[in-house]
Amino acid sequence: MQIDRLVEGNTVVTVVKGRLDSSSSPRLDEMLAVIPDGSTAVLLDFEELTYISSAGLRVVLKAAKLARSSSVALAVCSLTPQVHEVFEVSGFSSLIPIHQSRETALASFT
Amino acid sequence: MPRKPSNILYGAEDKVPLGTLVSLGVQHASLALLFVVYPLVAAAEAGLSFEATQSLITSCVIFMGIATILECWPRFGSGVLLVQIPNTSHLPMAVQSLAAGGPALYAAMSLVAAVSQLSLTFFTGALRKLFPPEVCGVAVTMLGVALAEPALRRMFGLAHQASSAGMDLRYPMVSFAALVVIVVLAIFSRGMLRLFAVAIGTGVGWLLAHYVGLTHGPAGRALADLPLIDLPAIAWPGLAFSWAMLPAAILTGIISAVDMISTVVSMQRMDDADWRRADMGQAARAIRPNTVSDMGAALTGGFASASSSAAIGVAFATGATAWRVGVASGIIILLAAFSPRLIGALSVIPDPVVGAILVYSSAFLVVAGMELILSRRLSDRRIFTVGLAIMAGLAVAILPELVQATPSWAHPILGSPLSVSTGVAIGLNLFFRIGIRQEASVPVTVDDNPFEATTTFLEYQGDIWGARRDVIASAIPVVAEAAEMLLDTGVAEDGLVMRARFDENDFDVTLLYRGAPIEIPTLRPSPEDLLGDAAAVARFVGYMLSKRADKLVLGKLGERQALTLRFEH
Repeated sequence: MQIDRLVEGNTVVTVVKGRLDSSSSPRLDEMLAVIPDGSTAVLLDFEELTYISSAGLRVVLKAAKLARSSSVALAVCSLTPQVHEVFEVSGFSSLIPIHQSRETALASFT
Repeated sequence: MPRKPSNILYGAEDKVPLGTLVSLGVQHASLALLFVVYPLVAAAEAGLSFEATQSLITSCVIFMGIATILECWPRFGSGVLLVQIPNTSHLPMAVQSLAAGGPALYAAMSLVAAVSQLSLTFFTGALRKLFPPEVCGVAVTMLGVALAEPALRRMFGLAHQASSAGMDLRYPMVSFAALVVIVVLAIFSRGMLRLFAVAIGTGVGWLLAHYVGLTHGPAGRALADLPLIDLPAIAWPGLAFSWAMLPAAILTGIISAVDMISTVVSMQRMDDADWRRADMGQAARAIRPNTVSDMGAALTGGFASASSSAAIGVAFATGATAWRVGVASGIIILLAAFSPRLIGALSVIPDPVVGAILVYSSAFLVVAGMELILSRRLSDRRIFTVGLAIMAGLAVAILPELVQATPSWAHPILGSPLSVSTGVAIGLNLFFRIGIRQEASVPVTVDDNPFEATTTFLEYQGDIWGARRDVIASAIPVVAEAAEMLLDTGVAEDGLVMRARFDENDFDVTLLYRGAPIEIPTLRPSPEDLLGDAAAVARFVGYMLSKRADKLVLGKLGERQALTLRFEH
């Protein structure tokens, strides 16, 4: 798994590539545990995420709870059909805003 | 009911407006009647009298029409658009038997071929095993390859020139013009233009052929001299028997059945966006009326017929696969038997125009076959099954001297690239099954990465079993999720065994482990459960597995828990 982090305005964009399972999710968990000062939104870009297990969902859920408690918006974008199915079945799609692309997600934060 | 692909305007069961129905029927019937040239060739080769030739052709056209109607009509046949043409597989047997014993011997041998063909339809279970998608794919590809030779000869006018003469460029020019019109209309147009793509292409080609001087009148007589309406001339040919011809007759029946299966599967594939496997029951329902019609043709001195592969190309070009179109074309073919002038008029369609239609159909069939072959995962065994089978068919197509070196009784089967390829594919498919078990298992421990272990195991088994790519691809993340949950939460106390089983209809993966059974809630648990204890996480994942697999079964095998995930194949 590869994780890239970049800042677009006041939004922290975390790009996750590859598989997010029990062996790789602790790294993402660690990265999402801190929201940089001054950030108003967190975006998880899953365009190149090929697989997410329940361990990965757990990390996303923890990040969403942290963002909510910090009054920071959190969204995910660019889900592949396989990952989108997991979000739908698990009910995460009603918990976390899902956007078609990074552009639409960033626009929704402004 | 199958889901209609987006490129099909009128699917198999759709009703078609009357005007469109008749026009599409005329397109199919016109093309089918052009192939009357095949029994004419057989009659000429065998030196038949005028009366016997007339009976051979007229009876053939009548039973082409009847067979087309019966095959297409769901009440009697398959409910698939199939249009009959004279059966080219009968040519070698017809020439030999007509020359040796006249119409009486050909009639008897035709009856044997029909019975041989019919008998195969009572073994649909065996047919399903003999014709997995890659074997069907080889047959359909070779159907296209077999059509290429007569198509290209007509396209380049090679049938009309001595080999030493230079090419007459008018032929390819007319043919390419007609082909371009058909392809452009089939791809870029919508509505009526697309429905009449073949007719418009034929019209443009015909006009161009007339302009460059490639049109001709019917052979022997002026079109106006032929009666517009006349009673069909058919006669009881008598029956004669020859033991020497018997093997050829039986083989002809089998080859005809393979030919019919290939065309039916091509239509099934074209008509169903979610096509998974050949419906051999439907193929049998198409073959039975065909054999009954062949028996009728045999008893009235006619040439046998079979479903047309060229009609598949027309159906694709027009986007109409409705069975009602087939019934309409069958009625038109039947009526044509009463009009010598109509049949005469069709015989003057210029060869390069016919070549264009056949090239289009051939190209479609070659690709449709490849698509069927690649619908399954290919192991080394399957790669060689397909590759060697196609090479065998090409060998007899490219090197006819190979066929000539064999005994004459084997010529009917070895002379057909379609039957050689299909026979080799069936044989290799059965041979390569040796040593393949339908169940396999692998241990997975906490030290393994569940996703990688699952992917390696299921892809390997999928290749060996020839499972569908999409089924394996959708099974991997679900099985990996189950394995990861059982190992990470400690529900599986000492690792697990992953067992896969495949039986063509289902792909089952069972995870065997020692520990407590997991709970499968019927209502979706709160996502908050993912942050809870092992039992809560297992419950949440259990719910997800039940929704993502086609079926989830919990049970016990001895002392071990068995979590089975079923994926419909």
